[in-house]
Amino acid sequence: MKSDILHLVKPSSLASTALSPLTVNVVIQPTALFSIFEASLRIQEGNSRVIGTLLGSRSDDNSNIDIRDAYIVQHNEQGDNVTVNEYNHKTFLNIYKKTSPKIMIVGWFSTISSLDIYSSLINNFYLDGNYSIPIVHLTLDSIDPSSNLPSVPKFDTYISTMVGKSAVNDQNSTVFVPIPHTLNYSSQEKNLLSWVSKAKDQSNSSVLLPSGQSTELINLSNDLKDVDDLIDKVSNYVSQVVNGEIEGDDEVGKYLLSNIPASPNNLGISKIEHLFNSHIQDTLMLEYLASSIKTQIELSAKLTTVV
Amino acid sequence: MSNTKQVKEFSTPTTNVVQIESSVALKIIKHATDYYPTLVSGPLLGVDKDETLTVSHSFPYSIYNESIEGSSFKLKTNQRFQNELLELSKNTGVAAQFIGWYQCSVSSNFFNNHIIDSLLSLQRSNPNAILIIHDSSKINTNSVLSLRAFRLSEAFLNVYKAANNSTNKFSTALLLENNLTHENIFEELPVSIHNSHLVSLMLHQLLSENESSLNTQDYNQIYKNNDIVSNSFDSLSLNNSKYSTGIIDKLFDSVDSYHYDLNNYNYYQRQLSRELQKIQQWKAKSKIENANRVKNGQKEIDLENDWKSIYKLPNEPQRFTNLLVSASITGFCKDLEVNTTSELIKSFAIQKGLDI
Repeated sequence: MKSDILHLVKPSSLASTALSPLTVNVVIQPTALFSIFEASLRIQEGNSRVIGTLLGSRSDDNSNIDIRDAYIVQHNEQGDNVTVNEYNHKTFLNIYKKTSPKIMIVGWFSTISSLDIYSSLINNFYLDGNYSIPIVHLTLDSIDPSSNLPSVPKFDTYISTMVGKSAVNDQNSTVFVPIPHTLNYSSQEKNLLSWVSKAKDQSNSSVLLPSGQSTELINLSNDLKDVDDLIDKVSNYVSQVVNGEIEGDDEVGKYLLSNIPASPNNLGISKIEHLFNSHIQDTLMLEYLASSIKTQIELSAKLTTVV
Repeated sequence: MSNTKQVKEFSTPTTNVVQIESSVALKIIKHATDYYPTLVSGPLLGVDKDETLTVSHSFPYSIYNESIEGSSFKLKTNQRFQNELLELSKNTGVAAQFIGWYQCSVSSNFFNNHIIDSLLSLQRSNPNAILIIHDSSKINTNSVLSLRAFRLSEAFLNVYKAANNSTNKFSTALLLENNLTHENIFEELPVSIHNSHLVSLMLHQLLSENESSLNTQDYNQIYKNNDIVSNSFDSLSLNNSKYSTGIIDKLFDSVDSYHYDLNNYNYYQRQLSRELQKIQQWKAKSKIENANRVKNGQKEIDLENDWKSIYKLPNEPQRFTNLLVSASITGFCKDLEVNTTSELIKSFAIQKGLDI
C-alpha cells in the first residue's frame, strides 16, 4: 500500500465494510467495557490518553464484530510522533491467545473523545498494512473538558477508512466513520451486574456479597420484598388512574390485563394439583435426605473424637 | 510457586476482607459461563492494604483437562503463564502481586488434595493468599451468584505444622488438640464487589435515564426486563432440577469414598481393641505372677510399660481424607437444604396463588 495510488472509492472488498459502515454491527461485552474503564485511570505522564487493544471475534463477512476484552498498550506521545510499545502489545496478545486461541484483534480504544493526528497514526499501527478488514476504534469520554473532572462516561465506536493519497510519510489521512454499537450481556452477567449496581449508592462504592451457603434464601427474601414494593406501586398507579388523577398508559393497561388473570388452562386443575403435590413430596424427601446425611456426618465426627 | 528449598514458616495473615473489582468479577463469571460445565480457573492479581485484600486483575488459564478442582494450579505451563503475566503487568505499570486463584466448582466439591497442597505452598510464601470459589452451576441453573473467598484456617495450619514433626499425620489427637473439624478447614472471608468511580457514574446515568419518565423503571422491570440496573426476578422461578441432580450425584460419590475411608478406620479400631484386650489379659496374668514374685522376693513386672515390648499397637490411619470428604458432604447437604427450602417456599406460594 505504499505505492503512489490514489484511493478514491475502493470497490469490492472495502465497499462492503468500510464504505458502508452501517452494515457493521459492533457488540461490546461488559468485560471489555469494564476493562477500558479501569484502563482509563492508568494514564502515563506526558500522554494525553491511554490506548489499548480490543480483542474479540468477527464474523466471516466482517459484518459482526464482537468486542470481548481489552488490554492497555504503552505508548509515548512526542510532538508529531507517537510510539507504541509493540513488544507489550504482542506478548499480551499471545497471553490471551493461549487461553482462547480464536480471539483476534478487532480494534483499539483510546480514552480521549477527540480524534486527532495521533488517532490516525495509532490506527495505522493497528491496520498494519491490512486494509481489507475493518478496525474498530472505540473512544471513551470520561473527563469533562470544562472542569477537568470525571464525568459520566460516554463511548463511541468508529470504523476507519483511508482517504486520499497515501505515501510513506503521510499517513494521517484517515476518516473515522461513527457506527452504532450495542452492549450485550448474558443472564449470568446480568445477575452479577444487578449486584454491582447495588454498590453504586454506597459511599465506598462496594457491596458485600452474602457469605456462606444461604445466598439463595437471602436473594429470595430480597426479591420478594422487591415484588411487594412493585405490587404496591402498580396498585397505587392503577388507583390513581381509576380516580382520574393521572392519565393511564394503554400499554401498561393491556399488559396488566393479559397477565393478572393468568391461570393454567391447558391442563386440568386436578392434574396440576397432582403434579404439584408430587413435586412437593419430592422436594421434602430431598430435604430430609440432605439433613439426615448431614446429621450422620456430624455425629460420626463427634463420635470418632470420643473413641 | 512452591518454595521447597527454603521452608518458610506460616505467618498470620494481615487481611480479613476481600474486595473484588467489578471488572474482575465479570471476567470470572464470563470465563465460567463460556466454558460451563468445564471447571475453569485462573490466577488473581491484586494488592493487600491494611485489612483489605483487593483483587484487581484476573486472567483465565487455558483449558486442559480440568475435571478436578485445583489440578490446574500446579501445571508447569500455568506457572510460566503466571510469571509472564506478572512481568507484563509490571511493565504496564500495574503494581500487583500474585495473590491466589479463582476456581469454579460445583457446590463444595473443591475439598481435595490439589487445592489444599497448592494453598499450603502459596500461603507459605504469601500469608494473605486466597482462593475464590465460584459455583458455576448455581448461576447457570438457579441464577444465584456465588463468589466465596477461602483461606486455610489457622487450626488447619497448626495441625499441618505439628503433623510434619510427628510420624503420624492428622491423628485424632492432633485434630482434637487444635480444634480442627471438617467445619473449619477453610476460613471464609467476606467478599465485597467494588466499583470504580466511572462504573458508578455510568450506573447512575443509566438509572437517571430510566427515571426521566414516570414509572419507566418499574414498567421496565415488570414489562421488559432488559436494562442492567433492574432486577430480573430470575430467582422467583421454580428451581431447575438439574442443580439438585448434579449435587446428589456428587453427594453419592462422596458418601462412597467416605465409607471406604471409614472401613479402614473401623478395621484399625477392631485391631486396636483386639490388641488392647490381649494386653488386658496379659496384665491380669502378670498381676497374679507379680503376687507370686513378691512372695519369692523377685523383681516385679512393670505393668504400665513392659507390655510395649511384647505387643505392638496398630498405627492410626490418617484422618485427612475423612476430614475432606466430611467437609464436602456437609457442603453438599447444606446446599441441598437451602435449595429445597427455597423451592418449598416458592412451591407453596404458587400453590396458594393457583388456589389448588
